[in-house]
Amino acid sequence: MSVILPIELLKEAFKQAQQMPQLVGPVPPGYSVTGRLEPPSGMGWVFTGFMFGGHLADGSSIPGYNFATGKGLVWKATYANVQPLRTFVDRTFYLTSDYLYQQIFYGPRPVTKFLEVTITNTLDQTVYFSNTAFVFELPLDRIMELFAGEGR
Amino acid sequence: MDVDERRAEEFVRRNLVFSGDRVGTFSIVRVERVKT
Repeated sequence: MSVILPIELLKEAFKQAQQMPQLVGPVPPGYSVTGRLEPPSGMGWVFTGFMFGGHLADGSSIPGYNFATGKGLVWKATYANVQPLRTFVDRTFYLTSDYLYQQIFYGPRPVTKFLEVTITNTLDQTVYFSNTAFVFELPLDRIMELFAGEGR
Repeated sequence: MDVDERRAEEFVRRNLVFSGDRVGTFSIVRVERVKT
């Protein structure tokens, strides 16, 4: 799976240093954890990809989501935006082996307010979940220009 | 939020690491039990 950014966005991405913030934290068995990431004042983000990983306390890698048993990790994100950009609620990602331990290119998704991510663990043990984002930061007005017309 | 959920949230907060402090502000919104 790959994504080709529109040319204006690609130019902007090349000018900016892409950042890869990473979050690692435990998700107890049978729990969902929701976290929120907010850009600095006057700035916004464009997300172009993610990387997911999960390990048990003994360091072993978790298996991909199993639809037969309903066991695994499930990820969902909301990209909240100021008007006129629309807030985008993403589809649910069941983290099968196709999604774990590799870069997932997708989007681009703008965030001008906050990114909210929920990870649900239906495995029987605590999972130390790792979520890396591929993102570049831009002034709010520049994001509004780049994504003009996608709001309504 | 019940006692178990409060404990779970405390556990998550204590053990969470975020590498992007210069990028933005991260906060935990909620920790909830789900049906498995």
